[in-house]
Amino acid sequence: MTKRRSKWYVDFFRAGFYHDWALAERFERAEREAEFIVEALGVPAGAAILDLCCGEGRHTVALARRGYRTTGLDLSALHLRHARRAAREAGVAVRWHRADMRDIPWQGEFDAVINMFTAFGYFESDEEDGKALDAAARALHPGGRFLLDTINRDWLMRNWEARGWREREDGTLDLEDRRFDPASGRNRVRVISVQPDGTRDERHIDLRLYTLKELTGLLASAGLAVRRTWGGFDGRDYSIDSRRMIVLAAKEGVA
Amino acid sequence: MTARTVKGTMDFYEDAFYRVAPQQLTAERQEAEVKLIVRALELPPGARLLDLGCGYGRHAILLAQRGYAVTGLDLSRTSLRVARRSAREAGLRVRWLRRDMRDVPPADYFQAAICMGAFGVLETDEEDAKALAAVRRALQPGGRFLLDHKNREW
Repeated sequence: MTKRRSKWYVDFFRAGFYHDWALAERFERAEREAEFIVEALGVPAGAAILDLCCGEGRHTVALARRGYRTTGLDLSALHLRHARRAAREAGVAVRWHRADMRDIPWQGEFDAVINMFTAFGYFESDEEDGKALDAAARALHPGGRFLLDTINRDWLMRNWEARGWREREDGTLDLEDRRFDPASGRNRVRVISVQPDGTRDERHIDLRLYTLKELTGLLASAGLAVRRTWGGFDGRDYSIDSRRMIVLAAKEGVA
Repeated sequence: MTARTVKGTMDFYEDAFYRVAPQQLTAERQEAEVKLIVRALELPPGARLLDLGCGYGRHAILLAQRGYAVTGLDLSRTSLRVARRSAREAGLRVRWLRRDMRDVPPADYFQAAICMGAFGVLETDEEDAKALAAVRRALQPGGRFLLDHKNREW
């Protein structure tokens, strides 16, 4: 009997890693990013916003703080536990829902859906990724907005490093071994963390990197028409030299 | 034939290309490319071969020298004039066709086709795809197609 291997994105976000690795200063940054998100979406005060793959809810909470009716959806129970606590500490009401991003249970409910910090391209095929966009489109009102923030593949290719490392404040080393597969457009990363006491932990990322052209096509198939692009949360233009690829699309139809 | 994009591209191939190309496309490079073409396509001797966007015949002529029955197709008059002259000087028989790459005759004829750096010039992905569909029609069943293109990621 073979044990069925869990999905990489379930494994990657399991206990005691992502929380320490990603979060501390990113909560502060999320406050600034929320300003950009609100302006980019152009939704009225108090609008209903779904944070698709909300993680620990840093944008969800920042938007709730600004008076938006926010919902955070994520697959990780652990993330949502942290998110609930963050909302409680901020004194804001947020609706949280645990689900796969392809299984958004609402229809025609939101003025905007956001998908931040490279939370797209997780599934094993473009078709499956497309199902998440279909679900996001269904969740929107006609004319509703969809904002996606991800790594800029063109930038990554131009600045490719097969290996990299960083050191956390507690001395833990994160080592990355990256392999880009051009035939599938997937970036496969082995992330090895070595704690100061020598404990070693290994996780994997297997991410489909979309070009802007590919993503525009996938969005169009879901009924989402690209309206604008940016290359960063400071509002810079998207180009091959920008680290981020931020895409604003609108659901067809009139609100 | 359509639009400005192709027109602009064609202007380039009717003129500037010939001032730039010979410096970059050296004889050594041409030989190496032709070796790869022959190996990749696994061509039987005397095979019928289409060179799509053949330019001034830099591959077509070397392949004709190796005994293949080569057809060179290009939209540029200047290119084909140069190609014709080169083939004549080398005493080689090559069939030259001045046509749009979306319009390849005849059907079910070629055992292999190549497109060396001449793809992606049309104004939309759909139009580029029409050129590929034309290649498919022109090839015999099981025929091979070799495309050499800039590596976008590089």
